[in-house]
Amino acid sequence: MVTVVGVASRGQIPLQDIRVDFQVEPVAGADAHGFGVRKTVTLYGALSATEQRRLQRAAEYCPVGQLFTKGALTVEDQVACDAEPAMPEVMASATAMPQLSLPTLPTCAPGAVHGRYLVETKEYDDRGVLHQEGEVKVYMTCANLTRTGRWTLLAGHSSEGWMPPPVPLAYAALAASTVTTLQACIAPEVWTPAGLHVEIAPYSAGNRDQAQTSAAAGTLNARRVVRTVVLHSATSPVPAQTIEAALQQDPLSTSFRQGGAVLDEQIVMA
Amino acid sequence: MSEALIDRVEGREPLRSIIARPMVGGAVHTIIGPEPGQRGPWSFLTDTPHPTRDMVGPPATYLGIAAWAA
Repeated sequence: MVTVVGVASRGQIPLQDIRVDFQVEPVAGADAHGFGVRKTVTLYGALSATEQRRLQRAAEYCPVGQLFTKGALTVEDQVACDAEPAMPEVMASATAMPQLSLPTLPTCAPGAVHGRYLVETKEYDDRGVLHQEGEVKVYMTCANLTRTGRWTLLAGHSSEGWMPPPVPLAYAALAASTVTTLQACIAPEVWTPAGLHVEIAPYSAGNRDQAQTSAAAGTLNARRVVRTVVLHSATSPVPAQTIEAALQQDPLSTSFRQGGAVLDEQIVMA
Repeated sequence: MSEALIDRVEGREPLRSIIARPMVGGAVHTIIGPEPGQRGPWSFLTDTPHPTRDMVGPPATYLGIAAWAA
């Protein structure tokens, strides 16, 4: 959303407001990520057909959108161990591991994500040029067997920096998804909550202006991160093959690697 | 388009900016550390659907889609 706002400002396109709505659905199948989205972008303003196409392209090629739709992320995976003496044992265990049969991950619960642009949070410099695209309020709702969960967060770009920019938020989701998947795949007798954590270290992929230029032109801006699974315990080693297999199953990792998360999308003019 | 490379490493990468830790009960606590020029850190809880417990945060996939929305 903030990418579209930035592209509109740079192109002097009279975009007055924007909304983005996602319906999240479980998707089964060997080639699926476990989920898919139906995306609707609503653009407000008296826009020409050319301007609509430019903003539609910017929406399709926003940095996070490229991860979900184009598989624009390269993940370099590492496994580190804080307990040095355990490493040889871990490696020996991994070498001796038979073919793994990991549990099937839980199906993604259906729900929705709604992005609402907070127009008044745009910031301009002394020359009247857009300096910060502003904030987006995101509502999330997800089915649960007890009751439906609802959450709200802010993301975007502001001078005050109260909220994370979208790309680091996407990387945070990748880290969280990785931990969730490892929890599901590692045997309970081995797993302890204090047993590991996951770190993401992004390589620089250019600044926001470059990302908006790429989005406006409809070009791929590939990104790369180092993901490190850090094992804490020397007494409950986790076989490397188990971790590797789990990382291959992780739904967000698969989506960011392969793209193709969109089941349906439409642009609505209002 | 990406490839996952699995390597055991002796040391730790120095460039980490995001850390996710599991919590008791299946939730995950994730902290986004600021990169140069950014504010922060920012902290999030994610969770998974459960038959008997309310979720303390959205699923991680939803957090990613929220980033997409933004």
